[in-house]
Amino acid sequence: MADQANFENDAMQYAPQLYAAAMRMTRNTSDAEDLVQETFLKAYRAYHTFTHGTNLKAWLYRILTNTFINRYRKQARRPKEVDLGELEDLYLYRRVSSAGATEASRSAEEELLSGFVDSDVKQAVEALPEHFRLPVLLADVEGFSYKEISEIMDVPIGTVMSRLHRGRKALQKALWEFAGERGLTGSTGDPHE
Amino acid sequence: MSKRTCDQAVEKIYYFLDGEITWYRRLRINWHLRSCPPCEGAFQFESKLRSVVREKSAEEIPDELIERLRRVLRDETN
Repeated sequence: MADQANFENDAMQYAPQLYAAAMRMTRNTSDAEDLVQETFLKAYRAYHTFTHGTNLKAWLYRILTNTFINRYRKQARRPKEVDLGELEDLYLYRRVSSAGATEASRSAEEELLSGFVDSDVKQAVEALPEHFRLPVLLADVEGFSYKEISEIMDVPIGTVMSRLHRGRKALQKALWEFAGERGLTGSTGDPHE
Repeated sequence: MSKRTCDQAVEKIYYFLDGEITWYRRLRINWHLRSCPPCEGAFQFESKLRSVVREKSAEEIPDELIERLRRVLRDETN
């Protein structure tokens, strides 16, 4: 059992991360702020049910995710979502690298990876359909394990794994499109480069 | 390098990067990567991409929100 009087002390350190996740979920600042506030209130009220010494960060993300799904999902502004056809594995890598792992290939990879700016990555994540966006966010940005994500989202581990797999390919496709817009894919298709 | 060994390594790439793999499989894959530059390149790329996504997703939490959270919790206590 956790003492409610310690909640602020225990939980405030996670506010910045929760806010960043809330931004990717709601896609706008005012909803993200409201979502974090509601998460903190709910967590405070339920803090006596939290088992001290267990994973507080995962517990807070579970409340954040549930609150988002129940309240903000419907009103979240929907950007054009990426079209998920059949995407191959290593989508981005296969486009930027040439066979044989040559010097030229390595430098093209470096150029691509260092060329992305914050808004490319944020928009690419936000463009993912929600059932892919949440696991990708929780795994790749927040670093949760499959088991933790399964508990946070209340879905079986197998479902987490398959959504992560497809979500990551979709994220890479979206990033490739941003890279194209930014001219980071320039050498592709030019045999003289 | 046999194509089968490469396929097996690439198939496990996300489990490997996610740390969701047994120590024995991790050892086998590390062994393979040391002798296979194309696979090693793919693993390096995916790992770096993961870092880029993480770093570029950062947000600065507004000071007002921190204050608001503290205020809301205090109001709730009283």
